[in-house]
Amino acid sequence: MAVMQEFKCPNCGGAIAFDAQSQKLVCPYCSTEFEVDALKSANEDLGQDEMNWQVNAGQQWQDGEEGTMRSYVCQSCGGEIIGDENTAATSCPYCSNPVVMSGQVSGTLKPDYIIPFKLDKNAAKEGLKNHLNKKFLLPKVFKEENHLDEVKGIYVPFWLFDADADAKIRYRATRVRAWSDSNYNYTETSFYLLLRAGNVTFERVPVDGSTKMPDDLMESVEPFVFADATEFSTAYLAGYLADKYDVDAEQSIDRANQRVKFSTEEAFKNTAVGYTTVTPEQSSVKLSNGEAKYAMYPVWLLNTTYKNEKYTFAMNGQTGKFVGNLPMDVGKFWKWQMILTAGIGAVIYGINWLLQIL
Amino acid sequence: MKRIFAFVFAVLMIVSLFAVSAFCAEVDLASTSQNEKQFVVDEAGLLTNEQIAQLNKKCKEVGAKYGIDVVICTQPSLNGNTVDVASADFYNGAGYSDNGVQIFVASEDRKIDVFAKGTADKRLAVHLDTLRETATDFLSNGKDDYFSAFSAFVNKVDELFPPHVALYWIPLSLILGFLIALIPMMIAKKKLKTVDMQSGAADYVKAGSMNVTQSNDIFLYRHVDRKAKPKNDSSHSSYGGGSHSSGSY
Repeated sequence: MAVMQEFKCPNCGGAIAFDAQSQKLVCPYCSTEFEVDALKSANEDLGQDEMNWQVNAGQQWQDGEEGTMRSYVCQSCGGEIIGDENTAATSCPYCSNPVVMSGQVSGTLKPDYIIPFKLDKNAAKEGLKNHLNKKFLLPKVFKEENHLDEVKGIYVPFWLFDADADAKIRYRATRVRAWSDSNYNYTETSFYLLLRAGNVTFERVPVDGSTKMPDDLMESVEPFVFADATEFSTAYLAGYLADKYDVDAEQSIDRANQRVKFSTEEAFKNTAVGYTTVTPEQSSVKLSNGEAKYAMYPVWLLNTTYKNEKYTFAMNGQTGKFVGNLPMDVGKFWKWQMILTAGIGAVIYGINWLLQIL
Repeated sequence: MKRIFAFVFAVLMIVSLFAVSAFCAEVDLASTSQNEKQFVVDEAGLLTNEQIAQLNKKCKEVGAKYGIDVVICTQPSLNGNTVDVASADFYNGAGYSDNGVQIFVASEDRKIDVFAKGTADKRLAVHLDTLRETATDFLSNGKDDYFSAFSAFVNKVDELFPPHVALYWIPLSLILGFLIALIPMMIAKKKLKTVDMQSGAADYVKAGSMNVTQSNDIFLYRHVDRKAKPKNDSSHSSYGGGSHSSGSY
């Protein structure tokens, strides 16, 4: 049994009726006319999102592998890190306070992949130097305090999500045309409905698997290039520390979904050319072959404190991308703002005088 | 004794007569040469003789101060010309200086034009509209106070001719300076922030995997908005070797 559906006018929202004379749908409230097909498409429900993932991430440790790793706990921030039996960890990469060895590692998953460190500690120090360079509003004192030795190389746990995204998106678009004659200025706005459907594949979308690692910091050192990834082996940990994951794959899924859906809408939006405005109205994204994997990615970390505020810097251990918010020298900002204001103001006034005299 | 006194008195009278007539002759020559250049030409008969004399004196004073001719001209009709053409033709045909400013009124057509040439053009070109509006204020809405309009015009020329920058430019320069200075300062400030969440996963799209299976652009409806253009019958031109600001009143 078919369900009666009331069609709504895309312009004013009123109930629309079929006009036998014109063979079109006409709205009795705002008198706008529509073709039948157009209205059907405008009212179609695209369906709900279906974004499910198969989480077969991580593997079981081989015999004895887990035993070669030691776990450390930070007394002040509670952060847990792992080092191999030959690496002694002394300070916490998150808060720079001392850590204490808490025994052998157990009950964790073995990562599926690892991207080994491509850049060494010297490169990290260089990265920091360059990051602090040429920043006009950075307080001089900050640059002079020397923290270069405290850069730590750490493997950060990430959940990687692969999927084929099938999308059906409906956009509202407008095209504006303007012209004038001797008496009036005219503006014509044409409204369109854009339907796009298709599929796009995403590979290894990373989501930070550690609560101690600030998500925005980790997302800022992206992208990581998966081509350099290899199967995990504890040998890679030698000399470095690794973070233990404490966010389940299920919990990371929301963030992955958010990013995938946004990029899908953007990708299809870029196929709509020649319009003044394009806005998504409804979108339905269905994922197939969604898979989550567990990987370790290399990051150089540095913490420093300045005026009772903690500043954390991170460098992508594979690509060298260096990020970290810096404090602003407020005094310098206002000093230069005032100098420039006076200077530019004087120039403007001077130009006025010159215009009079010449 | 009385006879000698009377005779001397008579001689003095005769001599003074000659002196007076000589003086008159000097005065006549001077006013004749001055009459050759009248700065107020009132062909439409809008001013009394006394008003013409007053305005003429004012025009001479202001003109002498700046080395220009300040001219007031009224005509009854434009005779089919546009007001800027009639104004420039009059000024150029009457033999005034190459540096001058003129206000021209055609009373039946109710058209007004301000024309500036030479050094007056350089100094007053940006102020022509103001000069015209100063006069029009006394003429519009049927006021028709021509004398006040022309007096105000000459006073305005005296005020605006010397190089000057309006007082409001001092705070305005500072405000503009502040806003422009913000641009480089904000850019420098932005450089300090490098940490942010990613908006999407564009970096992880498999190259060439995007496949559009359906792409329809459906037209819904159209909406035309029209706004009436403000009717503004003032215009600017450069007929006759100088700048004009013309309008109605």
